[in-house]
Amino acid sequence: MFFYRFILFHRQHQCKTTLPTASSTFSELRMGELFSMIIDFPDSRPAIDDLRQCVGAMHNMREIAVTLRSAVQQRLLHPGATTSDILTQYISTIRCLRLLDPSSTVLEIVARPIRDYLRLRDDTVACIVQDMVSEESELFEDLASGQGIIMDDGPEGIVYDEDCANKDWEPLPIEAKSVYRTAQRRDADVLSLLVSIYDTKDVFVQEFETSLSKRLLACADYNTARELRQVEMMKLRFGGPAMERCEVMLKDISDSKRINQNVLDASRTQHAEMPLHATIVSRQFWAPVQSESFAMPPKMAAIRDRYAGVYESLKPARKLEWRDTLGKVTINIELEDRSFELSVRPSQAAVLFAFQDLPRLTLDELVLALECSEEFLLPRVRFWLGRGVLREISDGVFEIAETLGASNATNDSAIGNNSVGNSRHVGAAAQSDHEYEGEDDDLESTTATADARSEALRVHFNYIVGMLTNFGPLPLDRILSMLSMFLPGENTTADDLRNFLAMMVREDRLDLIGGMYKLK
Amino acid sequence: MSGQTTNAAPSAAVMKRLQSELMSLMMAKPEGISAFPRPDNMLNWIGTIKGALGTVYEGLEYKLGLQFPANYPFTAPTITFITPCWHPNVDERGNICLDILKEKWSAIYNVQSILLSLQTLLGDPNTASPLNGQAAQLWENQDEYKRILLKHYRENTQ
Repeated sequence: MFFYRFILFHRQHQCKTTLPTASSTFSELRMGELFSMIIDFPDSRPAIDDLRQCVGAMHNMREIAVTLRSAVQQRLLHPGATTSDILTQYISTIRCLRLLDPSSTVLEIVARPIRDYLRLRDDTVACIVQDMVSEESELFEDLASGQGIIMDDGPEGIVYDEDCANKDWEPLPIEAKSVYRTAQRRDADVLSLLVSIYDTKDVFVQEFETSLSKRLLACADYNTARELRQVEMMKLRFGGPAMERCEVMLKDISDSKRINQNVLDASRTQHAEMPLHATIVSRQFWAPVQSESFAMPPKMAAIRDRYAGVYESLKPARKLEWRDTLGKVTINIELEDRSFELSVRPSQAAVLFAFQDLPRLTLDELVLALECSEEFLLPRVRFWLGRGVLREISDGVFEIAETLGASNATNDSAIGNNSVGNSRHVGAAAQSDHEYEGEDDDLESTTATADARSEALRVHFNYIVGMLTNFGPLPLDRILSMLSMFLPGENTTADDLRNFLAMMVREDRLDLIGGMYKLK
Repeated sequence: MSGQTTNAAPSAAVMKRLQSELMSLMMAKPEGISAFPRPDNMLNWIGTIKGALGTVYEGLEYKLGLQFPANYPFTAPTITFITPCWHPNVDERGNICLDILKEKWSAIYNVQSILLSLQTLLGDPNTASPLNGQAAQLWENQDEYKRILLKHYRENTQ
């Protein structure tokens, strides 16, 4: 009798006997379309409202949940869907199902495979953080709402007590139970649901730090108003202590602004304009930036060293250690038929400077001129090829493209050549200028994170050498358990460690004999 | 080896100190010196020292047991040779006579400085207060000393 009354409450004018059939037929029809409705949400809001009016008539929501779950598994959780699409769909699912079913039972059944799947993807955290700080997104609103600090583990007992006091409380069905450890999450906002995909919020804090440091290093005008706001809001959600490193980063930037001004003033009194603005950061608090070294063109190096000189005279006890691959240089390029101004990376500028004395260079000559590796050089040469400033006249020989018409033709042929697959070739698949730049930035950031990883692993290796020196040969699991016991903040997985040890064996630093690792 | 673990549970400060000593030792990688805690007990370490170049102990490697008290670093750790060591200041049970491990202990010493002192002690014994009289007497005669030392080392490490 219960559901009759429930219907009457919604549709008071309806006839008791026919309505259950009509509405259950309707909801059966619509059930299969729920996934598509969620895709179109919030445009499909009226359809969701219709469905909500009818689902009350169902004996339980389980059927909806199971249908939707299989649709999700079939249509969403496959390698073809991008992580950001899955996240968007998950967020819409949360909003739709909350409308449909305020008890969140359906949501908890449907969310489980999505959450499990998202956890498997490498870029989930990065996507969420990116979404969180872009000001148009819904997550940003959640962040800005300051709903209180997200805890790693909710205080379960207290929350259940509150629930029991509520007369409408019903236990979660079996399918939903294991999804959320706390009933608290029924009321949690989307952001905390996303954060709770992982057992710890630290991964988000770390990701935010990385993205913040990237943005701060890219910002040339010391203007951090936006970043400051983001950090303040992150503090509201993740707690002040978690954001300490970010605060130091912001302070570094504002200090840099002041120091930079001092350096400019000081050099002006020496009657020399300073065309360089530096960002000075404290190494300990920033994600490590290990840049590959290359020979700075003498002209740029002179300016850089003059800046360092003034800085050191202002702050006698300190010394600047430059990260030459970061930063921007604005250069004027004057060619026979055109001239333009361009803002590029110092390393990219260095490649062009090498052509100033000799208009034609081979790859090997470039490597010598820049004192860097070929792997480092290639993307930078490719950058200028893409801009039509350099052209490849034959296999691995480059020259300045003084006139545009000729440059285009040759550049095309260079691209054609490359597709043959000669690894010594520079040239790239045809892409727009914009993508060349993006590619280059990506390249830099991946090397930075890879370097950070190898730095962490260097610490690991020292510990492993320590163990093996004192205990003799050890199997993988003993090494792993000792690392996690004695190295604070250690969270390497067995797979990572196995890969790392395999690398050490390949590099001839360890031996693997009968499952035991041994020092050489 | 676990005779002294009946002490009160080590405080967080001791653990922290030992953890940071481990970190600095691992990162410094001093030549011929190493130590690492046993897997189950932060207060009980195994150390390894190699005889310094140019001494009769060159090329020999000794294992040590380091037992830290619960009030470390205010009391010295107990250090014994696990590999039998034929040396004027080491007895047959591996006990060591070294002033900084006894009355001259100070909280500024750490694992690295202790192990360095022991490495130095190997090549520069104090023959005035020996635990091993035979070794002390023979010390002046380095060739004979080395012969007996190597014989002793080989017998005990095989």
